[in-house]
Amino acid sequence: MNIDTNGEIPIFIQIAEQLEDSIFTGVFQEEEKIPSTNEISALFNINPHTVLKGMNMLVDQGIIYKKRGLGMYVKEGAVQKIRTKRQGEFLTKYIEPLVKEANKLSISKKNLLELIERGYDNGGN
Amino acid sequence: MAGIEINGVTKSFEDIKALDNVTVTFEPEKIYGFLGRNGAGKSTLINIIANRLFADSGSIMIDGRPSAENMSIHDKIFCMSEADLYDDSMRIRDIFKWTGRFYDNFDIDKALEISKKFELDTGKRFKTLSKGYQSIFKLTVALSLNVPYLIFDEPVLGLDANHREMFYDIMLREYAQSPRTIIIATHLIEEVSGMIEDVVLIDSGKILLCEEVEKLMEKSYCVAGLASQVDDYCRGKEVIGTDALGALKQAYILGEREKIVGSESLQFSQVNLQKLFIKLTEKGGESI
Amino acid sequence: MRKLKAAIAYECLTSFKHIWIFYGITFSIVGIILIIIGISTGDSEVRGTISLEVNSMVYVGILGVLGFKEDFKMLMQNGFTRKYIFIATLSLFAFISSILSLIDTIVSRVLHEAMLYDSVFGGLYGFDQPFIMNWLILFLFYLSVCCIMYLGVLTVNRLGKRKSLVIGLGLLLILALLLPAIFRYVLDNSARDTTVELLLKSLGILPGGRVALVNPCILFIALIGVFGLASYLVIRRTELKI
Repeated sequence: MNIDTNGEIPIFIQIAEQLEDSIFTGVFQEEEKIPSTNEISALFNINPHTVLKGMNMLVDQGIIYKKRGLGMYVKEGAVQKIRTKRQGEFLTKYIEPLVKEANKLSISKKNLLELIERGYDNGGN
Repeated sequence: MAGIEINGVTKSFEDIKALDNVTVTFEPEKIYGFLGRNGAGKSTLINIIANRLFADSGSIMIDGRPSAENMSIHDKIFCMSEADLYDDSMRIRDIFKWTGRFYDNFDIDKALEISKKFELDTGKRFKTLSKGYQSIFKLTVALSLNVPYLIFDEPVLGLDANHREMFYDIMLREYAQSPRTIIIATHLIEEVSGMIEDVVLIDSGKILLCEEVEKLMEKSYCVAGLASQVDDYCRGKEVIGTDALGALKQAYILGEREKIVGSESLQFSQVNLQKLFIKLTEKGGESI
Repeated sequence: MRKLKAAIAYECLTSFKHIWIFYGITFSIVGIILIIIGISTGDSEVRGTISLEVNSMVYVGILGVLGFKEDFKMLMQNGFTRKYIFIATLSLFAFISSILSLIDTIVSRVLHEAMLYDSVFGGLYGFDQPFIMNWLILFLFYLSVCCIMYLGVLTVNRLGKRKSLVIGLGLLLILALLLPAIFRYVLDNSARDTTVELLLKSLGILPGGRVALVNPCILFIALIGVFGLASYLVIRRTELKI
């Protein structure tokens, strides 16, 4: 994880995004404990309230949950949930800016589709 | 009411007005960034809170009681200051011992443990320590003391990057363990911007703003583009500063971000605390 | 109450170590002088006039000054109010004065018996005064010196160096020139005699070689009261110079 405390994105959103990413990539497995608010707070020099706010975003989305007295745990099915969410965001987050940029550069729809095909051919990652 | 309430405090030295009708409240269990340029009045206000100086007028109430010369109040508050007020011929561990006798909530074991982490030699006398280690010693005392109000005046002066990191780490752990009001007066904003919940900004002895950092971030933004378009956009808005580069212009604005007709080609972005601070204090003096 | 006790303990214990240094120096100087005189005159029966009391007075005076500078800062840092600091400082003065006066009384009496030394106290009031009165008067005297010095240093701190220098010189001028001048030219013979008599009386030296030890007690207590109160009033408004 890497938090930019002087960046453009609010810190609590960065916390939520990065925890989510760690869960999605398997750093934290389902039904496993994630680091506590205080640990994250001390490690990245971030106010514990801010960290908690970020975590609560994930709680609201049903990605993590609180075990009383034990800490925050990754919910079963969290990875699938994140995947569904990200698939839902894919259009607005990636495709729309792509099309916008393509239009700026006068790349036609046909050309763009071709380029996407080539992207797949080049390894797909 | 709990907290530190500062009401209309004015303070002059000779003919210089160091504080001009300062009114601000520090609420319980929050970490504050008390920001201002050198000579803005940070230390003066802190010294009045800590009963070291007297206000010319106005009052300071701590937990609802007047703070000046009030022994029961000053049990609750500790102020780590830039100035060295300790008996400098005394050994560090002896100062720890005395601090333990002076304050009910001083944890000497914790102090020794923190000293070890920083590799502070407690057998040394205060005056034989380097400037950096004198600061470390003072921070150690503050971090080992569980009082509801903890004030740091330029805490990391003379500390190297590792020691700063350690200080912030320990401070946040202590805070998480037993929440209290922590006021960090500093002009090094980048380092503390993630830690502070609220920011109090002082300039030329006046409070410019007192606001939750997140809210402040939400309501401030930067707009960039062709100078003429930026100027059009800024009309009627609260512009706190601008940067110009040829025909390009950047304006820093406080208020709701709104897209208006003709602003499609303008670029909008966040402003970070550091930039905001610089822009606000550049202008100086004017309250918002 | 706990905090006040801690402050008093701090003041007393941290100043205590200096006493032994002070006596170490004083007695070694006295010893060396006695030996030198002894060798050079070949006379074993020397009557020194090295006044312990004067040395101690200088010491408590310095202590009064230092007592302010260092401890005020330290106690302020530790959340003490000026009222507490004042009480702690006065306790320190009382503590040191009582110890110094006790030692000085014992030593001067022993040395007097050994025919080596005459104390200032003995010279003024005679050598057959009760031990307790000797100690009490020295104690009150040292304590009043402390209070006078304390007010002095507080005033200097308050006014700044330049102003205090002017005022100090002014006071000195009055003491050194004006008072003698008044004494000599303004007062007539009988008034002069009454003044001198009054001064001596307040010190407990009555006409006809009689001695009233109650008088100096009252005088010193009055001095302690006046200068102590004045110090308190000044310190209550004293700011920490940083």
